[in-house]
Order: sequence, then C-alpha cells, then structure tokens
Amino acid sequence: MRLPVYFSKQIMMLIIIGLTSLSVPFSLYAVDQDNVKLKTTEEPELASELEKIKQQVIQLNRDLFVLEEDLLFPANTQVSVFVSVDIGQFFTLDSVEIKIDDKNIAGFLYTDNQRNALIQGGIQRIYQGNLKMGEHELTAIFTGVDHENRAAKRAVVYQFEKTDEAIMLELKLLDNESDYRAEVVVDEWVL
Amino acid sequence: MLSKFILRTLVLGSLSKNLDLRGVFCILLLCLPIHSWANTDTVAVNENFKSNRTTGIELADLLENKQEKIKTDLQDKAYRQALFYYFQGENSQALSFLNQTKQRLGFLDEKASLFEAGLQVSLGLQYEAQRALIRFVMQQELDDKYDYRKTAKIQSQQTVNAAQKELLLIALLQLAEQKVSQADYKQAQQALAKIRHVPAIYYDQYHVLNQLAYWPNTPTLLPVSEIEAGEYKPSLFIIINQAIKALEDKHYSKALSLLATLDSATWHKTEPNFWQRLFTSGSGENKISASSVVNYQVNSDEQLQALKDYAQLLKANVYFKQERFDLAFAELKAFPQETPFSESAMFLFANSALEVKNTQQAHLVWQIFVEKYPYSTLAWQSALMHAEVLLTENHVDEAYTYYDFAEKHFLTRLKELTVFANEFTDTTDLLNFKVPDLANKNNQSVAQVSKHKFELTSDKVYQTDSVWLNQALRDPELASWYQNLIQLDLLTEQLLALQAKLNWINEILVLNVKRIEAIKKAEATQNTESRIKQLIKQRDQLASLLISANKHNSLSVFANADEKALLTRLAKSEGIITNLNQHNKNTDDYTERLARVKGVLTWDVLQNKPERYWQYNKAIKQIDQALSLAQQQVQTFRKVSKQNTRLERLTSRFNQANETVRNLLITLGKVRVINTTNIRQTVINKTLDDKAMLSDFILKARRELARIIEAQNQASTTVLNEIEAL
Repeated sequence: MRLPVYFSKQIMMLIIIGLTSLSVPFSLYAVDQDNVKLKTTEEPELASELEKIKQQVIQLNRDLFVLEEDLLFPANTQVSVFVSVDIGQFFTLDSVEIKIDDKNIAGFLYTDNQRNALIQGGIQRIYQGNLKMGEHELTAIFTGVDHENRAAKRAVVYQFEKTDEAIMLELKLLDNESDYRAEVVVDEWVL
Repeated sequence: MLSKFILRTLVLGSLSKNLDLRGVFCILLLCLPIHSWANTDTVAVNENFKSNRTTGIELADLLENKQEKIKTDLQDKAYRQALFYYFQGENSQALSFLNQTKQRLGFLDEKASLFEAGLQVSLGLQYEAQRALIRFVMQQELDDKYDYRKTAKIQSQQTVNAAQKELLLIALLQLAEQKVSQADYKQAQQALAKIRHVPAIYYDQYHVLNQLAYWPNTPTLLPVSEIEAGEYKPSLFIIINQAIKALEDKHYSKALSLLATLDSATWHKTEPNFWQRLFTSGSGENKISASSVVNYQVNSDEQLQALKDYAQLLKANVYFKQERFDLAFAELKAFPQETPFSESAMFLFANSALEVKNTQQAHLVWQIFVEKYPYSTLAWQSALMHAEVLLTENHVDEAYTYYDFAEKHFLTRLKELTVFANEFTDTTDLLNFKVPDLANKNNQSVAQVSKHKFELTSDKVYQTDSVWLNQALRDPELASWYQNLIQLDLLTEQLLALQAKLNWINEILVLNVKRIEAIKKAEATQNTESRIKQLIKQRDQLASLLISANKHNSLSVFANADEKALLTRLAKSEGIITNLNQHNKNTDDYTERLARVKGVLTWDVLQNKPERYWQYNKAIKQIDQALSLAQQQVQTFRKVSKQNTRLERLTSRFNQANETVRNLLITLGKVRVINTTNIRQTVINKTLDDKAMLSDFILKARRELARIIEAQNQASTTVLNEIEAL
C-alpha cells in the first residue's frame, strides 16, 4: 500500500501551474478564472503595512528593554554575568549556580537546546543586577557530566571591584586538552 | 597627616584662646549629619582636598591599566548573545537583541549586520533587509573595484568578502522566495536580478525561483560557473517546470524527453550550512513563517515519489494533447490512487478511456470520481459528461437517471454552499471558523508560548473543517491573507504584552518619583546645608586656634582640667597680688612663690604639650574623615537629585513608548479590518462563482432532462399516433 505523499509548497506550486495546462482540454464547463481574482494589487500594500508594524514592534521592544535596563540597572550599579562554552567536549553542562558575596543570585538548568546553543558559540546572559561600589566576590558552580559520563562539578571564585562603571563577567567553560578536563575561567569585560 | 585643606584653614584661621578644643571637636564629629547637603564652596574645597590627596597615584594606575588591558570586542559578544537566542529558534528575540545592541553601541559590525539582515529576511522584514543588503552590495562593488586595482589584498579579507558574497546571495534568494510565496512576482524578479554570481550549490534554488517568478515566460539565467558546470546537475523540480513550459509551448517531444529523465531519478540528502539555515525559513529548528516553505531539491522518498507521480500525469497530459489517447490511457491505467494528483489523474483517465472507446471504463471512473470527490468542479463536469455520453450511446433511461442524480447532487451542493456562505458571513472571528479540535488545541499552545516569548512570526497555519473554505484556501492570495490574520493576532498579543510591561515600568517610575520627593522633603526640613556650613566654620576656627596656640605655647589650650584649675587659681592669685601691690603691701614672697608655682605648672603643661597637640591633630583628622564621608553623602544626594532629572527623562521615554503602543494597536486594528474584508470578499466571490457554476450545471442537467422527457414524449406521441393510425 502506498503511503500518503508529503505535500510540499513546491509541489503545490507545481500543481497550480500544472493544473492550468491540464484543464485546458477539459474546459468545457469551466468558469472564467479571471473573475476569481480579487484585489491582487492590495496584497503588497497590506504586506508592507504588516512589515512596518513588525518593525515598529521590534523597535518598541528594544526601547522598552533599554528603558527597563536604564531604570532598574543604571551603569554605576549594574553587574551582569554571562556564561559561554568553548567546545564542551569534556563537560556536558547541566546547571549553573552563581553567588555574589555568598548570596545566591542566579541558577539555571539547561535544556538540550540551550546547551547546544552555548556549544555552537552562543553567550547567555544569566544574571543582571545591582551592586554597591567596592570589593566583591563571585562564586560559580557548574554541574554536569564529564566525558566519561560521571557526574562532575567545576567551580570558580573570582574577586572583583565594582566601580561606577557597569561590570560584566563572562564565565567561560573551557576544555583543557592537556588533562582532558573542563575548567571555568572568568573573563572580566573591558568596556 | 593633615591635608592641604586643613593646613590652609589652620594658617588662615583665627586664634581663639577661650575655646575648649576637645569639646568642640566632639561636637563637630557628632554634629556631622549622615544625610546632608553642602553648598558648592564646601564641596569644591572638599573635592580639591580629595583630589590633592589621591590624583597622582590613581592617574598613574589608570594609565598603567589602560596600557595593559585590551578592550573587549563587545560587537562579537553581542553577536554571540544573539546567536544564543537564534540557536534556540528564537529569531525574533535574536533580532530584538541585535537592535538593542545597535542602540547601545551605536552600530553593528559587518558580521552582526549581515546576521541581522538574515534574521530580518527570515521574519519577513524585507524592507529593512533590503536596505541592509543594498548597502552590502554597494560595499562589495567598491571592494571588487579595489581588488581590481590592488590585487595584493590580504587573504583573510578576501575570505571575508567571499563569505559576504555567499551570504548576500542566500539573502536575495530567500527574499525572492518570500515574494514568490506572496504572489509578488515583480519584487521577486527584482530580488533575483540583483544576483551577480551563483555557485552550483545554490543554482537549483536560483533556477526554480526564476522559473516561478517569470512564469509563463522563460527567465534569463546566469550561467553556472565554468569550474562547476561539469558537476552541476539540475534538480528534478527544474526538469518538471521545464517540461510544463514545453507543454505550454506545445513542444511535446521536448516535454516527453524531459519527463523521461525522471523515471530513473534518485535523490541524496544535502545538509544546509549555518547561513543557509538562517536565511531559509522553515527549515531545521528555526521554524519561521509557514507561508514561505519552498523546496528546491528532493529531500525524501515521499517527495521523489510525488514528483514521479506528477511526471506521469504530465506525460499522460502530453499524450492527450498529442491525441495519442491510447498512450495516455495506458499511462494512467497504472497511476497510483493515493497521491495528491489522483483527482486530475482520474479526470484525465476517464476522458482518455472515452477517446479510446473504452466507454465502460470511462463510465465507471466517472461514477467513482463523483462519489470520491463530491465537491470537485472536475467531478461536477464528469457527472454531466457521464450522463451526456450515456445519452449519446442511446442509454436514455440511464442518462435520464444520471442527469436526475446530477441535478440532485448539484442542488445539495448548492444548498450546502448557501449554508456555508451564511455561516461564514455571520462569523465574527474568522480564525475560529470551523476549526478542528486538534488545531484548536495547537493554536492555544502557540498562544501560551508567545505570552512568555518575544515572537513576531508563527508557524501556525489556519486549519478548518469546512470543505468549501478549504477549497477557497487553495487560492494562494487568500491563504496569504489568512496567514496575515494570524500574524496580526500574534502582533496584537505581543503589543499587549509590551503594554503590560509598560504598566509595570510606570509603577516603578511612580515609586521612584515618590521616593525622591520624600528624600527632598526630609532634606528641606533638616536644613542640613546651613548646618554643614556652620560646622565647617567651627572647624576652621578650631584649626586656627590650634595653630596659634602651638605657635605661642598657649597654656590654657594645652592644659588639662586640673592644670586649667591651677592656672585659674594662679591668675586669681596674680590679681590679688596686684591688688595688694596697689596698697603698698610687701608681696615679694608671694610673687616669688607664685612665680615658682607657675614655672612648675608651665613646665608641666609644656611637657605634655606634644602629646596633647598630637591628640588635637588626631581629632582634626577625624573631622576630616567625617567631612569626607559627608562629601560622599553629598555626592550621593546630588546623584539622587539628578535622578529626578533622569526619572523625568525616563518618564518622557515611557510616555513616548506608551503612545507608540496605542498608535500601533490602532493601526493593527485598521489593517485587520482591511485584511478581514479582503478575506470575506474573496470567499464570498468564490462562493458566488461556485454557486453560478452549480446553477449553470443544474440548468444544464434540467435542460437535458427536459430534452429527454420531450424526446420521450415525442416518441410516446409518435408511438401513440402510430397505434392510433393502426
């Protein structure tokens, strides 16, 4: 028995083109197809209007995001923490827990999609908040599975000074080829 | 250590011998307010003090750090953050993030800009994408010119240029594809005309899109590059389209030879690269608009089989046109039943059977056809043809029965169509018109997801149980309008979410404004400005007193309480002696004893002076520290004061955004009305056409029935006459 055939758009287009030719010899009772067409000229206008609205929604979303950030996280107190993965061969990331000055500030449990997005080069902003000026300590604990499928944890402690400029810290999970282990490195962005 | 400021005040300050310095120091320290305003002079002096103390070291550090640290490539970081969203299939979020980055950093680098253009294309933002892409094209043309003159360009740059060209090509192809799917063929042609070079891996896409954009004309295509020309093999889709074109042009032999190549066709899987995935909407995990899914290469056995079935149908059509009916009949005899083309194939098969005088087969197929496809216009035609042929074959009774059946069939359809038209006219929510349960559930889940995410496109496709509407939706224009409706609903949902966010921001703004007002009010009642002025004045006096006392070895300043009591007694005694001397009393002994006591006391006080002087200095340092703290607090309050201005600016931005949301919601409403009107009008027109067609068929059937009855009556009359004559 034959399986139902997958209707691709391409085939549908071909059908439309094909039927035109097929219907030619059998147009004995066929209606005038030109009457079916309606307002074809308005379509591009509508599409362009829709596009304009979309663009405006994107701009609005951007403005609101910036407004929210300016309001809640002014640069003089802003701190952001990012997570990235380099290769990800020796450590499969399951979750991340982040503390600043011994206070839990962020935790994240990764789905396959999110993990893959990191492995493919994505950077995730895991936390954005406010901190007073002065010395602080960040602790990050990465939980996951090592390349031999054993449960593993990697941690890093990083001292940093918060000035009146925004501070951005990237937690990089790097593969170390020499000992086949992954390690966490903190990269403080120079703005 | 004393600061320069303190030294200056000490030097300039006046000496006040009668003040108890330690007590005043204590008062000063206690009186320094925790939250205080200071006048400009004080702040300036204190800032000067601070800068004098620290500037040298900090600047050196700063310079050293600047030399060591290399600035982070924020463009790259932003690009990778957008990638994080992209790889999760959140293209709208990725694009929105790039927009935010552009706002923050002022621009996007080439890589990020191209990525942005790709995302725009994938989200249907052609206008924006086109602008960006035109910029790239112009840049490339300049680069090419530059390369022509100076061929010694570094290899890495050449690689970047090559990648850019490839990405530009993909973007233009995608743009053309979207325009084709919107039936905007002119725009599609324009996009395709911008392409200058097509590598073999993109040639199928380029060719098919040209065929569709220029149909029924033949497009002028760029050649495959000479190096790759040998390896290139056109895809089956191209061959099929060429065959259709040959058929249209009545080049039947050519059409048949093209179709013959499909008999032995096979397929192999091709993996798209990252940029292809980005720009090719609907593929992989990044599902974009369902309206723009187009295939250029066969990707599955099912697709290949569908193409072969279609080729077989075309072949039969060619034979039919060539009047080689036996071949058409033979071709369709083995045509599979379960294909999307069985409707056309059955119609053609029945007609071929008729032509080869296999009327029994033709009748059978027509009957099955009418039963299987009661809503097909081809089936309606078939019903009439079936009856007509029966009549031609002199099967009058059967013809009569079938015309009668056809009339009833058409009347039933007409009634159904009228009911449908009424129901459709009465429906207020077009997207909920006769929606199947499963699709409804899916629609709800789509809506739930979009509440939490920023999405501008939906892979949702309108599904309906209505046969008539499904038939109408074969019109790509109508389908596109329905897709627009889904888009409009999604955008409205997103805007409402943004409106909720705006309300939340407004609450925060109001709270902040209230907080600042409360602080300002508290400051006004405490009058800290004058208090700090007074304290600074007192400190200046104390500092002057101390420096003067040190200079003149002032005993009263450096004496402790006991010593001060003794000094008071000494002064008193000196007064008595002076008084006695005025009365010519001998006071030599008293004077000598007093001088001795005074000498001992002075020695004692002077002995302790360095330690006490140090203590006073320490107290001044404490005042300095307290003042420094006060200065920081003043700065904090200045910032709070500026926050008011900042909040005003933020409120203004909030108001602007609020206005935009309101306007956009109004615009969306208007567009929705136009779109809905278009849909309604198209469906109604389609219904009217179908009604007209059915009425026409009913009329035809009734006319034939009447003719048969008339003929039968005539025959009966003739027979009766003959009988009567006999």
